Amino acid sequence: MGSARLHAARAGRPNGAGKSTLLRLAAGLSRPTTGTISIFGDEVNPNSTSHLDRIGYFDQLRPLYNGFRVKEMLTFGRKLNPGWDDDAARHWLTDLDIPMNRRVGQLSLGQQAEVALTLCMGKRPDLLLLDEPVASLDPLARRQLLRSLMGTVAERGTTVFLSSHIVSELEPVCDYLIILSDSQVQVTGSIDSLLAEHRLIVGIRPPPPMPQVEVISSSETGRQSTLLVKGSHAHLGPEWQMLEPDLDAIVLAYLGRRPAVRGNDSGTTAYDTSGVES
Amino acid sequence: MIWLTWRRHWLALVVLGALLGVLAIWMALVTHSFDVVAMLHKANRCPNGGNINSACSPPEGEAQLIAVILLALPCLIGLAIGAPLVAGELHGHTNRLAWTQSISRTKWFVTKWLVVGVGLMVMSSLFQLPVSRYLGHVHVGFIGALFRGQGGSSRIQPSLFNITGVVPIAYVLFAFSLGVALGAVIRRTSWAVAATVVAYGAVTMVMVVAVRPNLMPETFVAVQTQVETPLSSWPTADQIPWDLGSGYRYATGYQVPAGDPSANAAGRACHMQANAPTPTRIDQCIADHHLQEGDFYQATNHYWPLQWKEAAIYFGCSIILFGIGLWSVRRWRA
Repeated sequence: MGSARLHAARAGRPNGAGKSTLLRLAAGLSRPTTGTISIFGDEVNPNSTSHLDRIGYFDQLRPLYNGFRVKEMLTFGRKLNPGWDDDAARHWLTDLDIPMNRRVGQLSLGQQAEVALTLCMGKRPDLLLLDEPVASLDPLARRQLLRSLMGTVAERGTTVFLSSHIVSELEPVCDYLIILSDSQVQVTGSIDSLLAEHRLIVGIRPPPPMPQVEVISSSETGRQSTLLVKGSHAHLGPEWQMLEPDLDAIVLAYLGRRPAVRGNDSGTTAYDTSGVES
Repeated sequence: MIWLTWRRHWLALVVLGALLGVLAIWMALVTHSFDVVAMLHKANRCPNGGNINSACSPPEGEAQLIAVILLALPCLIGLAIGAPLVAGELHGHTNRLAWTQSISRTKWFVTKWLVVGVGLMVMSSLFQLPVSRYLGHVHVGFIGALFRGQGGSSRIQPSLFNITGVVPIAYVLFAFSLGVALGAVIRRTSWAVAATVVAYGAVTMVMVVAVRPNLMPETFVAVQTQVETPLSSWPTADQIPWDLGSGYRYATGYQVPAGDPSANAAGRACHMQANAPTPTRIDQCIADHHLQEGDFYQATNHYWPLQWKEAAIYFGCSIILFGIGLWSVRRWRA
C-alpha cells in the first residue's frame, strides 16, 4: 500500500488562504491559481474524475441534504459510489445509536458529523480529507468520533489528512504535522521528531547566546525569559532550565512567528499515516 | 444519480402537477359556465342579449385571468424549478457533497437537467390538452362568436398564439434552462430568479415583435383593393389574420423587390415632404416611387408553420443554455 503522495503546490491566493482551501483543492472542488495538485500521481482539478472514488472528503460545513432521512443518506452513498460498503456504514451508524429514520436536519451537530463521516468512510477511500472533523463537537462526541475514525483507519490502512485547531486532540492520533499560517507552510514533520528536536528554555533574562540553535519564539515576563528553540542544544548555565515542550507550545510558537497572522486562517493541518506505517 | 435527482426534486414536480391539475379543473368550470350562458342565449332566455350580473353574462373576467396565467406559466415554472436547480445547492453547500462522490460534475449536471427537464416537458405537454380544449371552446368558439367581427382573437394573434399549440411546451423548456443557466452563472437563487424574469420577458418580447413576423412571408393587402365589408359578412374571430400594421411596399414588377424594407422609409418620406404635403402631392409622390400603401398580415394558415419554427428556435436556445450551465458548473470553484 502506497501512502498518499499529496503534493500541495503552493496555493498562491493572497487573500483566501489556509487549510480549508488546501483541502478543497485536494478534493478537486477548487482549482489552484498557480501550480497543480496531484493525488496518487494523478492531477486533481474540478474536472478530473480518477481521484473521486479514492478520496473521502469531509467538509468543514458538513453539508448534508437536511430533508433526507439518515437511511436515505446511505442510499445516496450507495447510488453514487461503486465501492460503497453498505453493511459497514449501517453497522457504524447503528453502533453510534443514530436513528435511521430521523431526518438529517433534526440530528444533533455531533450526529450530523458522524453521518458525514460515515459517508466518507462508506466509499472505502484510500485517502480521507477531513476539514475540521471535530470542531464544534463536545469533548465526548469529539473523542468518540476520533476513536471510530482511528478504528476504521487501522483496519483498512487509509491515509488521513485532517485539519484542526485543537492541537491537543491530535497528538495521540496523528503521525505527521504540517503547520500552515498565512497560507505558508511553517513547519512539517513527524510529531515524534518535532517533539524530539524542540526544547523550551526558561531562565533569568537576558538569554545567553546560542549559536547552534534556531530560536522559534521568545517571550519575556518580568525577569524571566522563555524560549522555544530548535536544533542541537547548547550547554547552558545552571540558572537555565531546559524542558520538553508539548505539541501545543510548538504549534503556538510557529503560529506566532509571523507578524501578519490572521487569527482564523492560521491553524494546523495534520495528517495521519498510522495504517500505512504499521 | 437519477435516484438522487428524483429524491431531491420530486416534491417540486408533484406540487407543480397539482397546481396544473387545479388550473385544469378551473378551466373546466369556466367552460361549463360559458356553455350554460350559450344555452340560455340559444333558448332565447336572454332578451336584449342579457345584461350584466345576470346568468346571461359569461365569466369573461375569469377567462381573461386564466389567459394571463397561461401566458405567465412557463416563466413561473422556469423560476420555481430552474433557478434553484443548481443555485439552490449553494444553500448548505450540498454541491460540495455531491461533487466529492464518485461521479463527475458533468454527469451530475446532465442527469439533473435531463430528469427535471424531461419531467417538465411531459407535464406541460399533458397540460396542453385541457388548455387547447378550453381555449378552442371558450376563446375561439364562444368569445370569438360573441364578438363576431368586433374583436375576439384568432390563434395566429399573439394573445392566443403564445398559449396554444406547441410553443408553450418549448417556452417551458426554455424558461427552465434559462433559470438553470442563470442560477449556475450567478450562483444565487434570488438573483437568478430576478434575472430569469427579466431575460425571459425580454426574449419573448423580441420574439413577438421582431422575429415571429418574419418567420413566414407576410400577406400584403393594398389600400386600393380594400373594400368596405358589410357587418354581416365579417369573418369569425378565428378567420382574422395577424395584423402586422400598415406600411408600404414596391409595386409588383418594379425593379426593387416588393418586400424590400426601404419601401417603408420611402413611403414615410412622401408624408414629410418639405413643401407642405397635401393629399394629392402625397399620392403623387407614392405613385412616383412605385409604392403601394396597405396592410401586412400573417395569414391564419401560417399558424402551424409559425408554431413549429418558433418552437424549434426555443429548443435551440434551450440547448445553448444547457451548454452554458454545464460549462459554468465544470469551472466552478466550490
